[in-house]
Amino acid sequence: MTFFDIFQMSLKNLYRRKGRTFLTVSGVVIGCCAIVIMVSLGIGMKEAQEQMLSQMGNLTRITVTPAPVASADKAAMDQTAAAKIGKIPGVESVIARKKMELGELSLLAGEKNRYRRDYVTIVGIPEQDFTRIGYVLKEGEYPGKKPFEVLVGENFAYQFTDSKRPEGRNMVDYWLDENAKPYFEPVGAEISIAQKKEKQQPEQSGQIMTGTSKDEWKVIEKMTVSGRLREDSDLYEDTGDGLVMRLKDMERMQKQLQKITGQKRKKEYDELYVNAENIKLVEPVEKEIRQMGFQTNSMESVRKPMEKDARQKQLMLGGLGAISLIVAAIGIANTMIMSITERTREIGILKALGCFLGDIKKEFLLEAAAIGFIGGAIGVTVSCLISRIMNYVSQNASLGGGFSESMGFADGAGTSAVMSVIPPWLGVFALLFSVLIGVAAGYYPANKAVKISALEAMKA
Amino acid sequence: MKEPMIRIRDVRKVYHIGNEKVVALDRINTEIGKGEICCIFGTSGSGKSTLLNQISGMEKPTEGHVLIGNVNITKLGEEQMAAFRQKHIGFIFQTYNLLPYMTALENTALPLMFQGYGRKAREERAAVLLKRVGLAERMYHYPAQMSGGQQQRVGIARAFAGNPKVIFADEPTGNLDTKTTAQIMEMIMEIAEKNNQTIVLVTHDPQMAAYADRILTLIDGTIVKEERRGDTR
Repeated sequence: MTFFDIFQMSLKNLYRRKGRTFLTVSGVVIGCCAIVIMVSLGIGMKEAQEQMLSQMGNLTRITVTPAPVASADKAAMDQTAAAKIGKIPGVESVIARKKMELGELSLLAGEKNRYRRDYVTIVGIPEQDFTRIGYVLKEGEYPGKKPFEVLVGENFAYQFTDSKRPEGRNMVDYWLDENAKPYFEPVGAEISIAQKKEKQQPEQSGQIMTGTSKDEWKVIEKMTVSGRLREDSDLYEDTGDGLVMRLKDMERMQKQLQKITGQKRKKEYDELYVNAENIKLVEPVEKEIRQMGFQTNSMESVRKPMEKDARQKQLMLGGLGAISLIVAAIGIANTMIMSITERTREIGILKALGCFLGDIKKEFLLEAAAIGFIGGAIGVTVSCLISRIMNYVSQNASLGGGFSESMGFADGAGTSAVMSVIPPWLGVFALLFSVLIGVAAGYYPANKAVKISALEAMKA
Repeated sequence: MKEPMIRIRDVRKVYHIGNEKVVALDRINTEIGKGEICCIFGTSGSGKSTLLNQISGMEKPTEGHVLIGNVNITKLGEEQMAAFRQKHIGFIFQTYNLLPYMTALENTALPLMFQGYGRKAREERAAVLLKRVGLAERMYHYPAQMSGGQQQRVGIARAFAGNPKVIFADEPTGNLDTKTTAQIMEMIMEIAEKNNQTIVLVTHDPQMAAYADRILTLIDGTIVKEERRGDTR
């Protein structure tokens, strides 16, 4: 018998018992739907979490800082260490960051240094990393060839005070008025780092300071702003209201400062931004860096327990679905046994006429597999529909929102997080699994069929 | 005697019913020649059906051997037996035993399908046979749409489809009226004679036995009488 003949015979037999086939297939449809929907909810949940996490920060980034306790054998986080970290398998890039707080120094801008700003964090990163660290330019350009071309954070200019206005009204409040313009346009502006000269005469007590215009400044370095960055919570120091310059410019400046202020220049980096090739590599890379004696920080510490939790939920949901598919499998086995009992005589005839045992077995296995396949195919289709409806409801109706929240789904700050996600592999897997379950359920009945004697055909 | 087709050697069949032993066949020894039409005749309970089951390989005898051609069928395994049946044995049943979900044509082609013939080849052959039994008009009818006589004619076509050496017929007209019985028997004889095929016919009806070349009468599991009809036919 050719495979096609066996296959056709199976289908004919299923068609003969339409009602029963329909009911058995329905069982598989429900089981398949249960498993697909449950798993899709789990995946949806996981995706929402990932989305939420990625809004909180870059998932593949490890921030490396020097060990907190100062000791003699403390590992130095310098160029050598950075190079060593760069060689760890799974590391995509290492970006060194040096930070500098302007202690006694101030930033001056505008005509006659009218605008002044104290307390600013200056970040120095290697030139080639401007584009790699994750900056997004809001306006302007990245620094060009000229030395001391710098980038500023989105709100950099708002932090300046106007020395010609009275205290209390000498700043632009951009928190209250989003459209408020800073005193000067940052991009293209020239900014100086300066040190206030000590005044000879002591200040009179009780006198209200009206401004600093009379202060005298010693300019240490002049810079040009080439671009303004978009604020990014992940890199707030730089992109919020900070100032970013080339690492080599910063080192030059620090040398100069050392001469003027005597402030000791440190050779170590403040931070290393290590990017792993993918999420899975974050953990091993982080471990290795820790062994070098540095402190690390990544989203992994948040992501890991969340992922574990999600996996548990997913397993539980999948398990619930699997139970219904197992019930369906028992249904298939039941139907097949019934069918074989009914067809005892027919099987006897097949045997008497010389049908091979293997062919009889195949015929029954194919019947069971076909039930699984049809059920699986309908099940996957129905699941896709249900999934769409669920997503539609959860995104559009307040009722759906309440439901998704009560189910414990992080809805990613109201963005496009969906409840149920059916990736192609899930559909294919569900279909194959249904067929497999069908075959498994048909195995016992098929063996039973093979054992029926040819003599059944002789009974009058 | 013609060249023997079936050789039955010391065949004994004992059934155990509860604690009792029932000897259904007791040391049967005979030969059936090639092209012979042999009738196993007996009342119900005489062991005639049991004998048929042993000769056709449906059951294994408790003792003894059955040879068809040169093959000792009592020694064949189930798969080998199936292959042997496909090629060398045809069956005609009392209850026709057509598969209800197949047309006359498909039922006839069944033994060829088991052998692995493609649809076209096997149905061409089946169509020829159906025409021969006078069912050219009913090839695409299902068993439920046909009369008993018509169904049995499909059964005959099916038995001859694989062009077997031996055809076993178990009360082939048991469920049919006299007129149809005659038609059916004539048909079987005609086809078998043409191809020099051996027929083993089991019946309790003396009228049917009259078609045979040789009649073996069974009583209580032993052959009590062996008649040979004069070669008048």
